Amino acid sequence: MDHQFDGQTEVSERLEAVVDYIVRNTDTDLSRQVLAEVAGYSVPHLHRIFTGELGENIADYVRRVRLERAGRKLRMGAVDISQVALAAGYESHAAFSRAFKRHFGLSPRAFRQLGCTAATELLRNGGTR
Amino acid sequence: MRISLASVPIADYDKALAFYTEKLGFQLKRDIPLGDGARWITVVSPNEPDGTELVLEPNAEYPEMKALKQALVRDGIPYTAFEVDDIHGEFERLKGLGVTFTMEPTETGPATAAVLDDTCGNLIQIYQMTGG
Repeated sequence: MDHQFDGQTEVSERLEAVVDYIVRNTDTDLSRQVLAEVAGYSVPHLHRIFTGELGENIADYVRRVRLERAGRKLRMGAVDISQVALAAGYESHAAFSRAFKRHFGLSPRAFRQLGCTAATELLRNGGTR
Repeated sequence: MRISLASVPIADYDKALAFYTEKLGFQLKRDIPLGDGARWITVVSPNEPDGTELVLEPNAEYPEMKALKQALVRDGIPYTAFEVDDIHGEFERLKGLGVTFTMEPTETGPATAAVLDDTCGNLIQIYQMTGG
C-alpha cells in the first residue's frame, strides 16, 4: 500500500514539474521530447500518464495554455498580433488566427475589439474548445 | 495631497519581503513591530529611497481580499504595476532569478509590459514607457 502511494506521489510530482515547466517556459520550445526530459519519462510513457491523469494530451494542453496567454496579451492591449502569434508558437498570423478562432470562437482581431469585461469573461470561460 | 504609500496584499511577511527585495530589487524602508506578530513593512525603489513606499499589507487571508486575489490571478489581471527603464533587461534578469512570468514583454501601445507572479498570490506588471 505504502509502495503504491509513493508511486502515485512520484507520478503527481513529475506531472506537476511538467505543468510548472510549461507555465514558466510558455514562449520556448515545449516539444514532447523536452517535456519528457523534464518528467524523466520516455515520450510515449509521459503521453500516456499525462493524458490519463489530466484528461487532456500534452499537445492540447500546451496549445491551450499558449492560446489563453495570447488572449490575455490581446486583452491587455498587445499591438502586434504577429508577435503574439510567434510567442504562442505559430509561424504565421493566419495559422494563429485559425487556432485562436477555433478555441475562442472569434478572430484575434475581433477579440481585441471586445470590451475588457467581455474579453475577460471569454478568457475566464476558456474558450469554446 | 500626496501619494506616499501604495500596497500589495500578502500573507507571509518574510516570504514577501524576500521576494520584493531579493528578486525585484526594492529596499527595506521600515519594519516596525506592531505587536502580536504584526509588522508595518514598507519597501522603496533604490532609485527613489524617499519616494513612494510600498506597504506589504498582510490582508491576503481576509476572505474578500482572498477571493479578489484569486479572481485576478485566474483572469490574468495584474494587481499593480511598476515602471522599469529596460523591460527586456529586467525580464531576463528576473527570469534568471527564477521568477515566473505569465506574460513576456509585449508591446501595448505607449508601453511595453510583462506580467510576473510575485509568489504572494499577486500578478504584478512591469512596464517601460516606449512612446506613443
